[in-house]
Amino acid sequence: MKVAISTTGEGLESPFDSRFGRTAAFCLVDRASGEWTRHENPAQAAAGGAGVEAARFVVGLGAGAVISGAYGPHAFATLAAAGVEMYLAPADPDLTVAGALALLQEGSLRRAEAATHAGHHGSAS
Amino acid sequence: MIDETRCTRCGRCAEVCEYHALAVVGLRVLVFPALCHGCGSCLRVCPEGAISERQHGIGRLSTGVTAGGCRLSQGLMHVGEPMATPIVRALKRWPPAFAPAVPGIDCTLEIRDAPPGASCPVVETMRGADYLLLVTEPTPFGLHDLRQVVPIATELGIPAGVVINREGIGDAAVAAYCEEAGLPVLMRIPMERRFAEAIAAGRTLVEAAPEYGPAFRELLATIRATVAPAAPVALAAAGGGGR
Repeated sequence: MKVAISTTGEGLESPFDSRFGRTAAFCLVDRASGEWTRHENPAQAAAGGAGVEAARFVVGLGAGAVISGAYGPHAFATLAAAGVEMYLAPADPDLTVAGALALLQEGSLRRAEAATHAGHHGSAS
Repeated sequence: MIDETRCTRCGRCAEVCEYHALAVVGLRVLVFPALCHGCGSCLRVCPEGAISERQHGIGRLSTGVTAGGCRLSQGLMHVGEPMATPIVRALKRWPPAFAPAVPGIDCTLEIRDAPPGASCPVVETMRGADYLLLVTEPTPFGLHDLRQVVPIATELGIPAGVVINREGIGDAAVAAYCEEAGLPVLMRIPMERRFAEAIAAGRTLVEAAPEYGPAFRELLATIRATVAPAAPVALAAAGGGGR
C-alpha cells in the first residue's frame, strides 16, 4: 500500500507538514518496498475547496492511506468516499516524513474517525 | 443534484469546478453545497445531462422603514453558511433602490454599509457605487485596512474620501497616508466618552451631539458635488479598525 505524507520539503528527511489541503507537497511512499516519490500539491494556492482538491489528488496518486495533521469536513468526506485511511501525526516541527512513516509502521498513529475541524472557507469567499 | 442513473463518473464536472464543490472518487460523486458559487459550469460540461440545480437557501433578506423614515434593507446569513457575497449581491438588487418610503424624504441616496477590511463582501458592496466613504481610526489597525481597500477603490474607479473617527487616539500615520494617496479627509470625529455611551445605548451620533448635524449635511453635499450632480447616488461606506 502507498502512503501519502504531507510535507513542506523535498523528501524523506524533510519536515512533516501538519496541514492537509494546503501542504506544499506529498511524499508518496510504498510501505512494502520503501520507494518514494514527491508530488507538488496542486491545491496549495486554491481559491477554495483546497481539502477537496488535495484529496482528489492523493486518490489519483493511488494512495491507500494519508498521514497529515488535520482533515477538514470536505477533505474527510472525499478521502472516506475513496476508502483512504486517514492517520493523524502531531504538528511537531522536529518530525520528518520518515519519522511520521516510522510512527505509522510501529502502529502509534491514531486514525481520524471524523473531520478534525470545521471548514476554513478562507481566502476567497 | 446528480442523477446517479445517468452519471458515468467521468469526472468532468469536478475538473471544471473552480471551487472544488464536486469530487468524483471511485464510484461516488460528492457534492459540497457550501463550496458552490452557482456558476453552472458543471451543468454545461456534463455529457450525460446528469446534473441539475436546486435552490439552496443561505440567508434571508428583509426590509422596513426606520423611525426617521428611511427605507432599510438587510441580509442575514443562516448560521454556518460561509459565503456572504451572494447575499450582498441580492441585497443590492432587492428591494428596488430609491423606492420612496415616506413622502418628502430624499430618496435619491442609497447608502450601503460594508463590513470592515477588504474581503469579498466588502468588494461586492463597493462594486457599482458612485462614491466610497472610508470610515477609519488613526491607529495601525485603521491604517492597515485603509491601505488594503484604497487600491481596490482605485481599481474599481470609485472616488473615495475618508472620515477619521475617534480622533485623538493613536498617531498621525492615517492622516499622512491620506495626504500621500491624495485622499480627502472629509470629517474628523474626536474620541469622546459621551459618543461612545450614546452608541452603546443604541442612539446615533447626531442624537447625542446635535451640533454634528450640519457637519453631516456638509459631508453629503461634498460627496454629491464630487459625483455626477443630481443623479441618484449609491454610497458605499467601508470601515477599518474598530468602528
